[in-house]
Amino acid sequence: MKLTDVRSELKKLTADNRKTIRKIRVYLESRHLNEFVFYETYSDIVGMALEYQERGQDFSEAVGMNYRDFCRSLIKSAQRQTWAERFLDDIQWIWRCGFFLIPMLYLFVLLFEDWSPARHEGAVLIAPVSYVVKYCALAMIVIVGWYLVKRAVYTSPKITFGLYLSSILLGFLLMDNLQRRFVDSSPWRIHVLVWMACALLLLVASKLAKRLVAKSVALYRGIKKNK
Amino acid sequence: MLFDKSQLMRGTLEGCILKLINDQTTYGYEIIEHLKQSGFDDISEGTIYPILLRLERQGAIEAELRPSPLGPKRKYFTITTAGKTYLQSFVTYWEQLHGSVDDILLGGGAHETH
Repeated sequence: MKLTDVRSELKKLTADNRKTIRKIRVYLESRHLNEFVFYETYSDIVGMALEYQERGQDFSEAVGMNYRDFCRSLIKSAQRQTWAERFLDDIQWIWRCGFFLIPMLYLFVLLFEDWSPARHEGAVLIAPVSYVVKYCALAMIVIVGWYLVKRAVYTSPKITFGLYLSSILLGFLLMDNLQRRFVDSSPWRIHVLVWMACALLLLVASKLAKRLVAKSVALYRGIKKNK
Repeated sequence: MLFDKSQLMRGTLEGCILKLINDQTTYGYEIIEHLKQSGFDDISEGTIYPILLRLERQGAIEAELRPSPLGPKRKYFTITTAGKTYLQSFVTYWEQLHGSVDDILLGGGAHETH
């Protein structure tokens, strides 16, 4: 089934079934399955849900036990990512953080120049190294933390969000303290547009490389048939 | 304290599913119906789907998408040569185990003589 077909099948599902599918998808997405295995499994589950619905049965009858147990047994049976896929998957976080960080800092400098140790010259951000490192670390905490929040789909939302917000606050205090201790005189000059273009290029390149590796693994293991 | 039958079922279900696929090319829901008719009451597609995925990954079965009167295309499963060998060994071990368990439960075991 093509991705567009899966999307159109999803629309035919009831709100409750769509919610269940979304939880399963988020859980599976965060468990490092081979991309093609994930896609095939996901479209199978959507098809399964739709068939149950058409028969007038509840999709929870198909899943049987609780969703987490179902997902866990699926993950145990499915092809996981190889180290190369995992590496390319994880490295995308760095490009994602990088892509958003410098434009955000630049925007902050534009709006509150008096409050910031950084300044700008046209599209060039001029900022102390410790300042950039501080916000780099914070951006990592915010983005990777959000990924972990999504992953913890079956844990209590209050605990998850509590931990997420606490880690952002702690991270900020720690990095702020470090920035005050390590004052550096040599600022970095970063052209925001060039930076964004490079980060985007690296993100796309690692996504393509990951897909290529995932496809090769799937073909090698006989998961995907070559057409 | 009640016996947890899921522990016992887990190992045997794989062989039963493989046997059903060996008998005819079939799909998930039909397998469940057969299993329910044979007395596996608590079976759902959520239980057998991971087993089918594992059997497919091991090369014991092959999947093919075919049109379905209900919803999207259905995945039909066919047994492979490797799957037939696997099923044969499952049947052999099951007969051995079945005999051993019966021997003990029905009171004819070696321990009776002590």
